[in-house]
Amino acid sequence: MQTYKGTANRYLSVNLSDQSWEIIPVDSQDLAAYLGGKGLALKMFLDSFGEEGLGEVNPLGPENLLIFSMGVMLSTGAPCSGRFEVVTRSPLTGLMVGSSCGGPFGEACKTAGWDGLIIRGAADQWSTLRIDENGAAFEDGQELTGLGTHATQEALNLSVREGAAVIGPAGENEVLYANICSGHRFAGRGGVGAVMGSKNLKAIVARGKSVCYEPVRPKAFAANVKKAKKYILRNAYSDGYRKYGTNANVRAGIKAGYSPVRNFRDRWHPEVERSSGEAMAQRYNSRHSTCRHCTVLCGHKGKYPDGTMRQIPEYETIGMFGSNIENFDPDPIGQWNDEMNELGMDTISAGGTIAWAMEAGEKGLRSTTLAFGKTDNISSILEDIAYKRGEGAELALGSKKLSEQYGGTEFAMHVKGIECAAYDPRSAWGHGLGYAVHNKGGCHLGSYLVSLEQQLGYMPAHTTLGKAEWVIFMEDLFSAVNSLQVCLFSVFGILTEPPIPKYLPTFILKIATITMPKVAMALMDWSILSRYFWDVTGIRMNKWGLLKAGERITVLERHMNVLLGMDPQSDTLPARFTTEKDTPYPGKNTVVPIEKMVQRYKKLRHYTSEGGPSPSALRRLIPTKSALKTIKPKALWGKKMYVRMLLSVLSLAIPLASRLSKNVAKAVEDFDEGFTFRLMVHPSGPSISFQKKKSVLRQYKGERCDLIVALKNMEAAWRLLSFQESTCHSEAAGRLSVEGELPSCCAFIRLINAVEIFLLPRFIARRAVKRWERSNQKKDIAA
Amino acid sequence: MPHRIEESCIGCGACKRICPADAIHGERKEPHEIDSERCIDCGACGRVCPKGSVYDNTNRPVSKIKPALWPRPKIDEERCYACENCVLACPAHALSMEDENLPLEQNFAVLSQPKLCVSCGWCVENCQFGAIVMEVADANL
Repeated sequence: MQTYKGTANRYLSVNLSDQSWEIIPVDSQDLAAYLGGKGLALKMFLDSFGEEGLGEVNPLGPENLLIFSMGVMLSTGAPCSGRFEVVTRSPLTGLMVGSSCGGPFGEACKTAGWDGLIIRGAADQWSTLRIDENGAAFEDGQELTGLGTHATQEALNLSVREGAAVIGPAGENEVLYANICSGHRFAGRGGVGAVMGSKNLKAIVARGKSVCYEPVRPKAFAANVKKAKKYILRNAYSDGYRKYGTNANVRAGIKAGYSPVRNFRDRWHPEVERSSGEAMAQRYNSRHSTCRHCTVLCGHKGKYPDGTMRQIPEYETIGMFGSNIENFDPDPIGQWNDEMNELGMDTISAGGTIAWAMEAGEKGLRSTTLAFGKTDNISSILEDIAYKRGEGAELALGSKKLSEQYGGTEFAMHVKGIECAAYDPRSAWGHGLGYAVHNKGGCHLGSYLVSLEQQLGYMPAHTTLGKAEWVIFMEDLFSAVNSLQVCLFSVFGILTEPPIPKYLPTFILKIATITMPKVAMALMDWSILSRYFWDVTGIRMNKWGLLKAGERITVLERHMNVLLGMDPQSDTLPARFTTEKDTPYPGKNTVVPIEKMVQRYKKLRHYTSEGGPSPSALRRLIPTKSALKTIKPKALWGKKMYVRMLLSVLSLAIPLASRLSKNVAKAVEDFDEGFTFRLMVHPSGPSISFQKKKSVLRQYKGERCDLIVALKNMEAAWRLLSFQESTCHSEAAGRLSVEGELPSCCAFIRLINAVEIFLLPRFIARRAVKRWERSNQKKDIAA
Repeated sequence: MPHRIEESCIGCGACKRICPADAIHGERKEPHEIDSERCIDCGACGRVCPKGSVYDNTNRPVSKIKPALWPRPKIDEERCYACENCVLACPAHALSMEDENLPLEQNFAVLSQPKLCVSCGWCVENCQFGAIVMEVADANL
């Protein structure tokens, strides 16, 4: 079995129109800048259309790309790493969408030797795509049409090595919020299933276990994974999810008043308690039913009163099909959840749209059979939506399009076309800002500030102070996490278990997080995540580098959204959240001062009035292709002083090292007796010369030299001698000129490396030489 | 490269019966073949082959080992979180949960069908909690 160090660095690009495929290599610079997963997929999407062509892409046309992107963490065995991202232009919002899924397709695709799969074109008739280590094969998929997501996977008769990504009838019929299913997990939001359906692609089967991966730094990786697991397993937040699933949020929601009740009209209802995680765990005798490689274990299944073992719905589904449509019985929600999963549609958007239709019917804007509290026709409506029959044909468009057609935009609970998840932002203003500015639209997982504001109590919920900073921080972090592809839920343990957030009293945290957000962030530690990347790929990354990459991904996505025609006014919340203050919630009733926070957010992000990043901000973030820096020959006097000083130190240190160190002495052996060489800085900088005499190096005062290594200017000398560049790098960039024979030049570079390893502390020497080995120094000292 | 069967195969069908991935086919008393697309490289076929006709993915012959001496998963009840990922991962369906009626936190995975186990180690790979080790049940045998 072939073993890759790090990651495969290649994507499989499949064209369904002419049934061809090709390999797209990924270079390490792009990997370092975009981390893989979502980031790299966005970059590839932009690259394949260019800035001009992006706006022309029809989300449901054959030209749209559907990218499955695996990330570097998959199949490394790190906690919660069994995830992949689906990126495309959303038919629901018209903007970019990335949806994460924890199904077995990801691991199968990755262990088939592909970091991702890019699907372009559209097939003439329903088809199935099979991929393995050798490439892609196209099969007829006609007999699978009409089957539900799980039925399709059964019909595919998958072997133990295979994993599939499939769509249900909703995807086939291009319901704008159809999803993609793998195993019993879903890439839910933004209508990725409709895009797959528009390509006439019913299923993709990947056959894995053909290649395997190992981290570039296995020891460091194992230690890091151990630490991450320790944090996740002892974290109270993760423990709540482990016991009760995401429905652990329900009780916190009742207390804080973020439960969605009757299309978000009321923030609270006493009967919501019946569908709390705690109550359901008891009622259904819940069992775990999770993604692979999961340590949080939030997915649960349970035995329903009718005797069926069902997946217990997630918090969002419980909210949107529970209190939000005035149903307080959790049993039918489990049944509808199963039906929607089988039909392959997003439960949040379906629930949001149905709740809108109920309210529009109540207000007489649109005739409907739906009504708050009426649950007997939900099943048939869901089926109608998936098959676009009767009223369902309209509901399949989502609440934005419907409210524009019938009126009632003020209670259409969506942002940018995607329905808001089941957290009422009037209880957590920062979470509201998260909905408003998230590139995807009203998705809760853009920044998920409600966790810090209400669930963990790290910051006051009803203030605008510091919220923009924290939304930016969390957005960047989550973008990075979605590009490494580990689960967002594992981040809570990693972020809140280190001593500073854990042992600081909450009242200090509450003050610090809003008055000194930057300081509070700097004191937090997410280096486990950056070390994941470093250890797996071998590309150096610290926690700030990871955050910067996250920022790059978020801003790039925003830039692409502007190119796709995003309305700058759409960075806001539905009117209900900003105008309707009074609700039955017994606690503090507020409205969200969204304008103020959005303005601050845009200022901090350097977004222009068009809604996207300014050209200079974009230039600062997006790296140019070459890693070599162009320098100007001029140098300040401080740099000159430094170079002179360092060279004079070296003139003493090199002869000394050649006597003391075995490695340096070995490097000196390569020179002939009497050999002379000089290191100098052009045009009239300092120089040092040496001669080999009686097998040791001595300073040399003569004029003629066998080898002259000259740095072309003072700036080049500064970069080399301040260890910003290694000798090899400097040579490659053409900043070194050599007069003399090539073998003696190589011997010189070996000598300099040996001297650097001998003299410098490790953290500097590692920057200066190509390969630093611990053993070098130990042997050296012993000698 | 997956496992393969040499021509010295006598077609006894022992490998076909043990294969968890249903990857081996062939008529009785005829040389059998391994389907490379289905093979999971567990090597069980080689360990039961009376003639030593099976070669592994590095092209070395797999030697016969008595099933009692195969390393099998030993699950630490205390460390098991009952996530069921090992049960799902097991290609031979040898694992199951102890008791579906136990409270979630007391439940754990068990090797309920040791005879089906082919010691592929997939359960170990899929355990996030370090609760499974591969061990020969009785080292004295």
